[in-house]
Amino acid sequence: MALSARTPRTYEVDSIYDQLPVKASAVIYEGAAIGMASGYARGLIGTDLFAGFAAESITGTSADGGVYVTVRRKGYIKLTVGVAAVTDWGVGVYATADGSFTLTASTNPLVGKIVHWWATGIVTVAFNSANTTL
Amino acid sequence: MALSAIALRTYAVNSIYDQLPVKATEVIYEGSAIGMTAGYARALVAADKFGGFSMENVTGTAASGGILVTVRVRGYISLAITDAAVTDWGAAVYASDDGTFTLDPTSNTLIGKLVHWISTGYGIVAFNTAITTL
Repeated sequence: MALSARTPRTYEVDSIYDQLPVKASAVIYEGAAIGMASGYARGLIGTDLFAGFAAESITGTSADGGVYVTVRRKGYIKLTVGVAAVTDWGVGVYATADGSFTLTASTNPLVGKIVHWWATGIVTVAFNSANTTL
Repeated sequence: MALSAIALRTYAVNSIYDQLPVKATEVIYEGSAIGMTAGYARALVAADKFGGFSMENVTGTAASGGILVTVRVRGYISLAITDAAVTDWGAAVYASDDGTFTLDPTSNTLIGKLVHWISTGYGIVAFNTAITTL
């Protein structure tokens, strides 16, 4: 409805962390790329939406949303990415699993982009889950 | 023109706030989604470009740009979003006016994405006008 009076909003602190509900029985390890499946977090699989990196290890309960996992949703992270070369600065990085990263888009979810190349296959990736799924 | 000497640039502070010129006679309420039309801010009308959320009540003068409105240009905001469900994590969120938010893109304005589901019809939306208007 269009506003007809002042409506103070609630803004969240601009935190680099969030807590997301975990999918039933999902096993998530600290450092895992997190995938969202129907609104619940798990170790990223194939075409999930990327939601960040797990800041803790956790196992889902028998029901969806029984526990929450703390995730880092934005920042810069050093990753092993396929055969990333010095010429790949600025290219998109995708996840094929919770611990596998590639430059191949195909049906893989976008994680971020290379902002620093260290050596073949070793790079720093800038990521922000609020941007990559738009 | 291609540079032939050093060019000292002026960088803006990386603030979460900005001040935008208000369209003539427009009434803007605090909390209003801001729409940009021909370079001036107003209470958002569907298909405007998204300019952030108003931090104050302001009424435009007789001429466009006679007054400025302070807006929050990025952050995380709690909103009522029509029919938003847990399965909508990562979905794009649109405004159909300055106080109505929806998952329906038709003729509406993209404002951000759902990054935390609270309950049916409520969630946290990540927004950044520098991205959504690209």
